[in-house]
Amino acid sequence: MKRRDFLKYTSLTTSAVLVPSFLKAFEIPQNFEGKKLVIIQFSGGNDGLNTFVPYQNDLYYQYRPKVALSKDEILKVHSEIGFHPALQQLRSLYDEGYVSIINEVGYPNPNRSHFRSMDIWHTASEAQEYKNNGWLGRYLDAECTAPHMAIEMSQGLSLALKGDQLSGMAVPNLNMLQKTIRSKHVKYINNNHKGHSHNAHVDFMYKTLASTYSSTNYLNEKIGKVDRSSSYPQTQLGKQLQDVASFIKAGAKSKVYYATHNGFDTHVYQKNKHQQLLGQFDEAVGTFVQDLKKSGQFDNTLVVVFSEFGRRVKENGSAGTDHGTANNMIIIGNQLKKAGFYNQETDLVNLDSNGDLQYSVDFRDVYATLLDKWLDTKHDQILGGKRSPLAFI
Amino acid sequence: MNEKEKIKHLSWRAGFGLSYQQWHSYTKLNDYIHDLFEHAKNVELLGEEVSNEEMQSMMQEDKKDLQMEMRKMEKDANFQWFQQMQKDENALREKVTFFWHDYFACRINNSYWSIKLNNTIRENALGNFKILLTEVSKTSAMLRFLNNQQNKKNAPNENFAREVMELFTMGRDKYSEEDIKEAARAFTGWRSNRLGEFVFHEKRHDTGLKTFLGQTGNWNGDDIIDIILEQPQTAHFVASKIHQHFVSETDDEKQIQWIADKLIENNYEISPTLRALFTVSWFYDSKNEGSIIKSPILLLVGMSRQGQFEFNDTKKCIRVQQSLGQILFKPPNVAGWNEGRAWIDSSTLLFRLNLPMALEKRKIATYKPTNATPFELADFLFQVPLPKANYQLPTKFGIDPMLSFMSTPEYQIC
Repeated sequence: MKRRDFLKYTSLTTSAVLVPSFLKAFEIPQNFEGKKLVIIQFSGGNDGLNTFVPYQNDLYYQYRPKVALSKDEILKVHSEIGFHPALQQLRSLYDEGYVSIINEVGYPNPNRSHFRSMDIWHTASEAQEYKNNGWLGRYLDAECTAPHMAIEMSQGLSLALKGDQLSGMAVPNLNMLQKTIRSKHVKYINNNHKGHSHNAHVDFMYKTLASTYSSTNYLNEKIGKVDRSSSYPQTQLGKQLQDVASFIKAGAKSKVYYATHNGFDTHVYQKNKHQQLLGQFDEAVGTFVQDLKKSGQFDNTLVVVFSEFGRRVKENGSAGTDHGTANNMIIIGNQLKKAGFYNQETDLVNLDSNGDLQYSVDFRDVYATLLDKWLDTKHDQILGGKRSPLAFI
Repeated sequence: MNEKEKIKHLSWRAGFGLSYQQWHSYTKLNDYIHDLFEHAKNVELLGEEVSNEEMQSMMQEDKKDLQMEMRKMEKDANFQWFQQMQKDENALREKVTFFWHDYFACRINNSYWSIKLNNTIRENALGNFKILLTEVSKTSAMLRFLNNQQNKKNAPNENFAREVMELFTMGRDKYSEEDIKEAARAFTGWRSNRLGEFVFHEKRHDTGLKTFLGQTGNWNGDDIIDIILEQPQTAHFVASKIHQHFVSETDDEKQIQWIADKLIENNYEISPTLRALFTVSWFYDSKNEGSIIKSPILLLVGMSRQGQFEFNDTKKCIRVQQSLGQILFKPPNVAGWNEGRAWIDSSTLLFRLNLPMALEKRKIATYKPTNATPFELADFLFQVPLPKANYQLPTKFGIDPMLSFMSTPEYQIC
C-alpha cells in the first residue's frame, strides 16, 4: 500500500489513533471527498413561468400579452415546454440528463412579502410561525463541528445558515479571507483567552471567535494551493461560483455552499431585466459545471436553485409581473434519479383567489430529500417533523 | 452590586449606557432613577410634520420620484433617531420606544407612515399599554402591513387579528383558530385612508354576533382589545417581553409573574411598572449582570455615548447598522429582530471587534479620546471583568485604551 493510499484509507476510519505516530509528522491535510450541496438563491421572486415556458398553453398567452415569450424565441425541450432563450447552457445540461425541474413548489397560506417569504424558506417554518434559526443552521447544529462546513459567499450571513450552537461562515471573497483576521489586537484576544469567564454569553463569543480563526486559517491554507479557473464571467454570481469551485477543488471540508443572485423583483419592463438575469445565471452555472467536471468534482456536487416566490400569472399594467406564490426549483447534478421535469406541468387553470398558482409540492419535502439523500442526515430532527422526501435523487 | 455598579447596570437597561460625564456625576442610584423618569417627560418627535395638502400632492407624484423621496425620508429619520438616542436626557423614553419598535415590529415602504407609527409609539411609550396598543393598531402603517385594509365583511383577512393576538398581546397557543376568525370579523372596517388617517368603514364592518374567548356580542375592534386586556395571559406576555429586554435573556417565571402583577396593579400603566422594576432588589442580582448581548443599535449608540464618537454621515451610519445586522425601521418581520446569540456569528463578531478602531481610522465618526487610565475605563465600560492580561492590550498595540477595550467580547454584553 502506498503511503498516500494508506492515509486516505485511515482517514475513512476517522480515527486518528490508527495513524502510526511516525506518519503524523507528515500531516497531509486530507481532502474532503464527500457530497457538497450548492444553493443558489434568486432574490426578489423569479418568474418561473417565463423561465420554463408552457408554450402550448393558450392561457399563458392570454394572461401575458406583453410579457409572454413567443414560440419562436424559446428553446423547446419537449412538446409542451421551452426554456427561456437565455438558458442555453442549462438547456445543454438538461439534454445530458443533469437537470431536474420541480414545478409548483410552495407552501400553504403563501406570504407575498419578500422578507417574510424568504424567511419562511430560510427557516422552513409554517407561514404563521416565526423561527430564529435556519434549516441549514439546524443541520450544522446537528451534524457539523466548524463554521466552514457551510459557507455563504457574501458579506453577511443569511438566516438559513444560522444555527443555535453553530452558524455557517460568510466569506465575501477569497481575497477577503485573510483580511478579516489580520487585526493583531483581535488575534491577541483570541490567543490569550483561557478557560471560562463565568458568563455564558462571553464564553459563547470566545468560542465563536476561536472557531472563526480556525475555520479561516483552514480555508486559507486549503485555498493557497488551488488553481483558480479564469474562465468565469466576472458577474456577481460568476465570482461567487468561481470561489465555490475553488473551495471544492481545494478539498475544503465544506458541505454546503450558498450563493445569491439578486434583482428578480420584475414589476416593470420585465423582459430585458429577466433576460439579463437568467443570462448571468446561465453563464455562471454553465462554467461552474464544466469546471467541476474537469476537476472530477461534479459527481459529488448538487446544485439547487430556489426563489422566495414566483410571479402572478397575469401580467400587470407596466409590462411586468407582481408577487406570486408557487414556483419551480432547479436541481443540477449527475446523480439524478429523475432528470427532466419531475412532476406535472404548472396548472394555469385552477388558480387561487388572487390569480396565483397553487402549490403541489411543499418546499420542505424538497429540503427533506436533500437532507436525507444528499447530506445523509435525518430530516425530521432538522425540519421539526416528518416530511415526505421526493425521488429526484 | 454596589451603588455605582447598580447605576451602571441600570444605564444599559433603562438607556444606552452611561456617558463618561454621568459616570462621574451620579453616586446614588435613586438620583439616577429620579432623573431618568424626570427627563422622560420630554417627548422629541421624529421627522417633519407633513400637512394633508403636502401629503395629497406627494401622492400625485411620479412613482419613482415618490419612492426616492420616501427612501431619503427614512434614512434621515433613521439618523435623526440614532442621534436622539445618544443624548443623556433622552435615555429612558428612547430606550422604551426602541423596545416597542421591536415589539410592534413593522416594515413598510411608506416612510411617512413608518415615522408616524414611530412617533405614535414614542408618545405612548411610557403611558398606558392599552392606549399604546390601540393607537398602534390604528396607524396606517400597521393596518396596511398586517392587511387589515383587505379585511372586510364576507371576505375576512385574518392577518391583523392573528398578529395582534400572537405577537402583541397573548402569545402563541393561548387562543383558538376560531377566536382569530371571530376577532378578524370584529376588526372589519378598520382602515386607513390615502392620507394615512384612521377611518372606520361602516359598510365593510361585520355587525353580526361574534364569540371571542368565550364572550358573545356584536363586538367591534375596540371591544376585542378590551377583552384581550382582561386576560391574565396578556399581562404575562407583555411582562415576559419586558423581562427579556430589561432584565435578562434567561426567563425567570417568578420575576415575569411579578412584572405581570405590577402591570395589572397599575392598570397597565407602563411608567410605574418600570419604576417598580428598576427599584426591586432582584433586578440587581449579579446573575442579571451581563445577561444580555447588546443589540447592534444598543452597542453602537452605547459606543458613541461612552467613547464620544460623533457620526456625521447618514449613509455611513446606516451602513454600519447593516453590517451589524440591525437597521432602524427595518425589522426582518412582524416578530421583530432575532436577538441574543442570533446577533453573533463569525462575520458579525469580527465586525464588532474591529468596529471601534475602524470608526476612528476610516473617519466614519469623529472620536475624542479621554485621558482616563485603563483601570478607570475598565470600571466604566465593563459589566463583567476583563481578563487581567487584556489590561495591557492598549500599551501592547499602541492603541487608545477606550478603543481597545471596546474591541473585546466583554464589551458586547450588558
